[in-house]
Amino acid sequence: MSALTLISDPNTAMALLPEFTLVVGVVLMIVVPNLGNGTFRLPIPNTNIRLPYFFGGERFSFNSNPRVPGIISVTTLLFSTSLALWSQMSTPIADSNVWCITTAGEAFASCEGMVDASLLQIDGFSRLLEIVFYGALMLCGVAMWSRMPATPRFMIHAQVLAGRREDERIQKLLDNRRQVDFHLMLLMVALGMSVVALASDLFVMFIGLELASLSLYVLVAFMKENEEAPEAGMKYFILGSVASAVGLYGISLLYLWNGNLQISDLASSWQAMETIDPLALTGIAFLLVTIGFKVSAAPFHLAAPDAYTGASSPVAGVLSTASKAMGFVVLLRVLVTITMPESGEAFWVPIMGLLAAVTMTWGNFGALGSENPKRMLAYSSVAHAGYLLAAVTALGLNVAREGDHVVSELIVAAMLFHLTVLVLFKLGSFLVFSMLESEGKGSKLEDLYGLAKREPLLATALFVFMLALAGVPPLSGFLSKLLLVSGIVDATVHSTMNFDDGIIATLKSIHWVFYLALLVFLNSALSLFYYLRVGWVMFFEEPPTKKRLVYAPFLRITIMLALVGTLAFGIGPLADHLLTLVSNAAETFFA
Amino acid sequence: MIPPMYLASLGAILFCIGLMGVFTNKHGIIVLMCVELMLNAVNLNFVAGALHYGDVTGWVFASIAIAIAAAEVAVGLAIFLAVFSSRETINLDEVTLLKH
Repeated sequence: MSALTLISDPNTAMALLPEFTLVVGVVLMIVVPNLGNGTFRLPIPNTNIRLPYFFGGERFSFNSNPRVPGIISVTTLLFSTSLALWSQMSTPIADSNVWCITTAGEAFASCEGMVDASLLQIDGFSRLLEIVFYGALMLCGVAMWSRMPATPRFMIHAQVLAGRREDERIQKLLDNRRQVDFHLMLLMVALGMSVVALASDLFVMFIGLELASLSLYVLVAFMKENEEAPEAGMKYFILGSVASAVGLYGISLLYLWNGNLQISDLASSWQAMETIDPLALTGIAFLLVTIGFKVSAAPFHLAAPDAYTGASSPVAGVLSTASKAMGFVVLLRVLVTITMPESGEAFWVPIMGLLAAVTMTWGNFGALGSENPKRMLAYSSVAHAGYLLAAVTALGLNVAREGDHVVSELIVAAMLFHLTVLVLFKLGSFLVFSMLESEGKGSKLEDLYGLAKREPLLATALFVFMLALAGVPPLSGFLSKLLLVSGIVDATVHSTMNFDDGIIATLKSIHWVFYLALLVFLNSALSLFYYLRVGWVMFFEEPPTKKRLVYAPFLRITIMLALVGTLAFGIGPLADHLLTLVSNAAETFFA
Repeated sequence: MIPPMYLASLGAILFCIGLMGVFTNKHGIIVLMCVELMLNAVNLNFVAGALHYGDVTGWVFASIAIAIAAAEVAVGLAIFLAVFSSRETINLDEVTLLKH
């Protein structure tokens, strides 16, 4: 019943159009590179009738090109992104375009009063996150286009040295396989991430999380020909699998507590509790370990710098943007949707505040002390996780003033805005590093020396990305940080406050979460040092060589697009559009 | 029938053994086995919940959790193989190229 209904119900098909596109992409990825002129002989004795079978045999000219898998994955992701964007744009009102998909595979226009349990919920919030995920993965796919050597270079050298060259056709086939592996995993990550964004059941969410993270472990370890990548993959895998096992145990405790893993049901059970049940509390705490690993929050971030350094740059970019956004979705769903009390502070505010402070400070000091630019970016992404955690802490204050959720909505909108524009400048800077990487450089600060003299445009782009990461106006990084800080201030400082009793008394009366906003400022100032150092070495040091970097036209165009986005989303009409989009998404999150 | 409480307690014990094994062992394969132990604790919990609430979904969760565990082992062993082919070791203390 279910599989058939999924396709025959037009509402479901419409609501899940981006995901179905991804599935079609996966199938194409498996089928197209294998098409060939293979035939099979009918098993009739004394005859030789052969029927075309189209699999195997000698492949056609259009699909023996090693770039075919890349084309398929980038096109699929482009389609999915546009579909998600289109469904967002065509219904600008926040609470329309909501679909609830049940276990029976039927879609309902509202999540109230359904017979079956709901599995997936499509609304503005999840659509926006889909756009972020697919966009980031698409950039990664484009970057890999010219990044991934068609053949492991050492193998070609070995063969040339040994005086024997493998048949070119076989080599092409091997290259094609390698590309298929990579891009198939990329599409799987996209599928898993969108399941996380859509899920309205904790277990479904966890399956999506596992699908995305298992594929990401492979992607991190993918470049087997250098020694760092498998090691990075191994470290990331071990910490990740332990973290997810702990999280799954937490989910099973929540199941023991509630007998049901529906997020809405868990939320109402949590509201109904008079004192906090230790079983439920342990469950949530264990779940936080997984989330902490995903967003690379302080005590669980230890694998992140290694993973980012060892992985190829585009994959590291995905880890620091899409994967982090996925972690924050789960965090919002668990902490805000499930455990937020009707009124008053949530119990996790002190823990989250401490985590936020430690994470952002540790991240920034780590970045100050690292000589490897990729490692520096990894630590800077830990710091950014700290800023977002500070916003989550402010959410936990649960300020209720005139209007229901105005302050909370502002904070969620700020977080979403930050996660969206982060794709542009963080992934953008990783893309610039990936150009350096394709000539075997990029793991030392010296590799950036004099980049402005070799590649003025790329160096300018990287410099702008760094400024955006530091939060310099008028770039989009500034706007996102401004929104985050103003959200925290809004939640802590009341407009009725006056300074009649003297400044000290007023400062004492402010909630301590306010000081997290100050800490964000201090940390941003600190981070300017290491971001500007990159700019300094690019513009004022002598380059070791005058040679230009690899040609890679698509990658260059993508970097330029990211640059334009970084500038355009900071100020002007495009920024307004994006703000409308994220505030609609935030509104539906609380609906 | 075994009371669900016993199953959940066994699950808790297994989970603790697994977690301790993860922190005390340095061999990749043993760490992987300890993670499996933790995932089996999860299965026991789901089964205990299913028995307690008379709810079918608990069984479904348990069977899907087994599939997740299998997928995790497949990915993990593949990565360990890639490490082993270049280092000849998968001891976590000796795989330290990136530490700086």
